[in-house]
Amino acid sequence: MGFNQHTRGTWVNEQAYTVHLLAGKQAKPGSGAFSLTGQPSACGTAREVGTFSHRLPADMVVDNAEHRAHSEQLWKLPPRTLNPKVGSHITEMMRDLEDGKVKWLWIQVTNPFQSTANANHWIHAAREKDSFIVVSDVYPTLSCKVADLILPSAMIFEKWGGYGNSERRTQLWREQVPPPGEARSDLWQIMEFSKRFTLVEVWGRQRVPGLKTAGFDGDALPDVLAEAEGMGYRRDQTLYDVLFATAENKKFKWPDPMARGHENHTVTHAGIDWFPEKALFEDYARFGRGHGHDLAEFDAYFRDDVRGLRWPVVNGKETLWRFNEQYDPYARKGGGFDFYGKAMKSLPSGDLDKATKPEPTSLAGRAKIFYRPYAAPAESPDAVYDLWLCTGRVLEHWHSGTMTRRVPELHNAVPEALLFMHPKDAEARGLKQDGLAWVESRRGRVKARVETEGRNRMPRGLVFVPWFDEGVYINKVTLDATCPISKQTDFKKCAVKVTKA
Amino acid sequence: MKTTVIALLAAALAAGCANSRPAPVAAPAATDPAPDTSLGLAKGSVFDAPTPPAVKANGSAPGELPVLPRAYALAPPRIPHAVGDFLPITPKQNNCLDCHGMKEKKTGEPTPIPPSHYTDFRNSPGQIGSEVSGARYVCVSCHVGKTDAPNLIGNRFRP
Repeated sequence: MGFNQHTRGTWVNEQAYTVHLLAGKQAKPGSGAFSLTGQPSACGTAREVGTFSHRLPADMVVDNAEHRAHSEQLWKLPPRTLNPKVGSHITEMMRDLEDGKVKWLWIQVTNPFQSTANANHWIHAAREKDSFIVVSDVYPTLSCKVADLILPSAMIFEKWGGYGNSERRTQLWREQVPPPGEARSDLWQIMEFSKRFTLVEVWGRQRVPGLKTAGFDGDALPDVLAEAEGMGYRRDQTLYDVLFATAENKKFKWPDPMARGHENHTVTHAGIDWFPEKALFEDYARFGRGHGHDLAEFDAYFRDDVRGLRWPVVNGKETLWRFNEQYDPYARKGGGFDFYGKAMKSLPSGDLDKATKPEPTSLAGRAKIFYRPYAAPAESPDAVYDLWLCTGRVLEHWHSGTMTRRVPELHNAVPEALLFMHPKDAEARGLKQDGLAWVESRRGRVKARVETEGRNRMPRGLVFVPWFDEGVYINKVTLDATCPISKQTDFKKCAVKVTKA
Repeated sequence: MKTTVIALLAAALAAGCANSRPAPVAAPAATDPAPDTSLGLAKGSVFDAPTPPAVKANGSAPGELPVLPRAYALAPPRIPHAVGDFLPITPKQNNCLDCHGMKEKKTGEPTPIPPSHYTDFRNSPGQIGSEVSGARYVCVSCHVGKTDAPNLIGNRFRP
């Protein structure tokens, strides 16, 4: 993760791709274009479907007028309903909470109060500010400890669902077991929530501080109620009516023979006769079909001979290697490779000093190589905080440990987060194996036991603490410096001192 | 001071009407709000800096303790003896192989490394070689030991 969790993470990843391009190792067997990410499923599950603060489905973005218009058309929304202002990313959300700009957070099955750097700020903000924090999760997490309302949620196979990954492989599954007790699927929760907003409450003129987009008057979203009525909507209809229980969606009936006897507790709990997971999948697929993001139809992913399908799926055939005319139906024939992505494909040109030809030259079909300057880390060791702190994971535990620490064998193997350090660094501070130490930065401190003989053998000057253990809340110590492009936090580098506890 | 409330979403549904807005429901009484200190795997406040317990790795000698039960079929078996003295595994020295590197299990002898570990799945799948494959050489990548740490929470899973 050191490539991504880096104050120049975007540039670092670019350099990795650049090496591949220069060596000719791209878009062919053994060298597929692959998003370097710590969680391959984030690629398909969060990014391409459009859940990030700047995104719309199928890799479109909110601050592009054409993308917004297309999305509004597909979702049958009046023009200028969608907010063109990019929302706050996760670190910014925490800062907004502290500044009082955000008063309500709904956290769905992630643990941001354990995972966000410089955490003392955010736990104080969560407790001291006038805010309402809701957490939907499967287990009581650290984020639940600072929340006001916890909603028990269905786990992965307790509902119909799907995810994508960095390989562009979309995989869907049927509900395998019912959710226990009062747990509800996230889809059920969102549909229920949407029933509580009528169009007159949400589609009138609305101020958006900081909004400065052509076509939008002042800093507000316009009143679109008249247009909505012209489209056949009524002011007293709810967002559930408009976004979920539409005529098109209701055509996907439940029960559906392709379920092969598997249940659907979203349907049961909602008391409906239609199949929302299938309807919304097909709704989402419309965004990408014909644009290089083609998904197969819903049922195709459940065939016994299918193990997910890599998009674009065209005429039933998945794409194994993208941008290569041998495998990718969207690549133009004749050139071997066609890098048909649209980002920055028309640029000025010049020499190392300046652009000598400001009129853009087309780079259509070409890949690009970037040269980037070195950038120093945001915080380096000094006389007082004299060690580097790196944080990360261990093999036995996933992320904040909410699942893996409940598995006896995994917990037993690695029961707590240790402070991995070089024996000489430990000795110089009066510490030895299993000794108790404070790990402290300018921002906070936690206690951990010293490990000098474990799986991680640290060099002099660098200590490592994994973050799976809420009892060793290392993100109180880390620094929330982010990459300005990707907004990812650099969890790998900050300055600490280690003292005997 | 905030306390945490565990609550149901109101169950009122109005399916079947043109307007799906549910009838207002009285908010459930905030009975039994759960204090934050009772939640999570580390009880206590998020503002605390707890002392992690001193955990002891297994100190037994090879052969002293019986083979440990597996969580599921084909789980890499856990190591029932101490490993500290046998580490690190280097290209020149792999102490695990010295004891476990025979092909057949005999009573009272160390568990042999299975044929799967002598197969190079990438280059010659289906062939059992004479040496442990490079991909399997660092035993502690998959096989872990035991500590005396008690379970954090009950678990009823049976394979």
